Amino acid sequence: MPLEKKLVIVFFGIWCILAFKLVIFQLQKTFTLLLPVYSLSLEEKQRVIDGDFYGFVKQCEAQIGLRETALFKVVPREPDFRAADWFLKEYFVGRLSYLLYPRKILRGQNVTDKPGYSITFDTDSRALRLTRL
Amino acid sequence: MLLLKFTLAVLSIIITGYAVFRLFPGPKKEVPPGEVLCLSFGLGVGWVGLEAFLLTLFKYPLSLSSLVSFQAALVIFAVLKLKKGFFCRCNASWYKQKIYLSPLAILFLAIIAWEIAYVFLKASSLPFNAWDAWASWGFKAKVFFQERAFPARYCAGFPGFPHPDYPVLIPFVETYIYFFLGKIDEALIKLFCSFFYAATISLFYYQLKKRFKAEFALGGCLVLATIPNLVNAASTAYVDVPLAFYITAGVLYIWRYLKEGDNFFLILGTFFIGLGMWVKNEGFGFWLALVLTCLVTCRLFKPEIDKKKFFSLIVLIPALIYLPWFLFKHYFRLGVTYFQGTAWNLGDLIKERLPLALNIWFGRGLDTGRWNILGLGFIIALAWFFIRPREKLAWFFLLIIIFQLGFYFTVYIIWPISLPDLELQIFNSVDRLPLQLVTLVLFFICLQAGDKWRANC
Repeated sequence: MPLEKKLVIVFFGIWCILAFKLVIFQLQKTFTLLLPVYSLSLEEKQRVIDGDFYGFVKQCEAQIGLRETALFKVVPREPDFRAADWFLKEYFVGRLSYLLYPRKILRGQNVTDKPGYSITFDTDSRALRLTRL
Repeated sequence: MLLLKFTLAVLSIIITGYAVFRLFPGPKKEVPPGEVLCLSFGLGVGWVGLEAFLLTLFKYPLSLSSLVSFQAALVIFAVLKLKKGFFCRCNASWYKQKIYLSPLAILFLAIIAWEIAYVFLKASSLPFNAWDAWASWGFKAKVFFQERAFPARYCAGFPGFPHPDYPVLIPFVETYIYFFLGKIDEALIKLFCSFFYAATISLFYYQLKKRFKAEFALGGCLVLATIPNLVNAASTAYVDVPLAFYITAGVLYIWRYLKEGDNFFLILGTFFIGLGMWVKNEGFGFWLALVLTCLVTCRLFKPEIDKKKFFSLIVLIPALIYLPWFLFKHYFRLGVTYFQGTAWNLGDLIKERLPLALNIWFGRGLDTGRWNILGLGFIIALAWFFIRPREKLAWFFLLIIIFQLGFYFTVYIIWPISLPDLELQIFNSVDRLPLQLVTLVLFFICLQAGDKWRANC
């Protein structure tokens, strides 16, 4: 057998061994995670993604009018990308913006937009609060 | 009921794409139906997205009836113009072919089918859970659906609006599906985006099958289908996989034109490149990389083609497709500055940033948990290609990869952000940007390695 054919077969063999590991992992994930999640209601699925944060989103949804603006006082003027909880805070602002649209969610520094609500994120207790101004 | 509406939405996209496909000047040889299906899907997505954008541009409120009526008009026009030619020809050579698959090929096919099924299941099991899927593309689709328009002035002035400079093809297609469903359903949108994964694998198969035996073509597809990062991205509704699809189709059909000289493939390829520019900003860089590659290829290898026509189509068709978005973006000032200007010295930037970017890219690129051994395979194929090239025109793929990587690294170097922020951005993009080139890398490896499995052997 020519050398190049051998090389291709060896490459493909190694690939298949690693791919086999991937398929086994996928099979496990299908039975332990995907199939049990599949039959859940939409709200339960949202809680799988966002945990208790989703409860806060629903609370905001009930209290902020459809076209109202709310201020989310969490992100500092100069975001510290190195901070361990930066992503967490950024995630919450973005996620709120997405889930609550067409309500307009603004970051803390945009205080000139006169929002009707103030949403504060308490980093010590990790509690989220929504306050009417 | 929701699934039925979703199926109707997908079917309407495919039928529209099929009409567009049939309106192209026909190929010299009939294209296999599976390939036509993939191409119709890609062209249909392009038509629907651009149609929705143009409607909003002319202040026409978006609705299901307005969108579908334009599609119906297109299909009726195609049927009337082409008559019997609208439907596939049943005397084509592929129709008479008997399909025989060896047990090995059946095993490969089964694994590929499993991967596709897994991606579909994973995509449809949860709503958006990956950052950019909702924070960028999903958000825009939600805004367009709720406002029934593209509120560009509002988007430009709203600090929370995500990446206003990103092209809007996929968000508009997501909006189109929401109109069909009558509501927002994120899981079905994820499922829709994962169709691009299946379509990319299918197109890749048909291009390999043109040159190699079925076992080798299926082996190549198995490799593509089991790249961990691709499988992961395919179920998240990130648009890197749709862009990979458009790039794959564009480049492989242009390459086929270089090999076979059939104008049909050139027109088709340039259309796909143009649509890729509407998917993500990287699509624009890719077009520039392609133009450069075509220049170098024609200069070095002198393929037997009409070079004037080749260049004018490669430049004009994608530019014309992209022009409305380019004008719109600049009119509403939706652009983002990626250039530092004179504040920093370019030489210092290169010295500081290039080693960092290369270090991260090489480290991740050789990670078997993310790319299996694709990086290693590419290095071996490259070395082998320089020693004994099996196909000189494979330079075409190599040059595109080099120019596109050059584009990514140029952006890293000139991007006006601090070094720690840049490091974060490189880590964020290093698993996604190579997805756009992965099929080209694999096709290059196949061209070099598949000599013993040529179809006519």
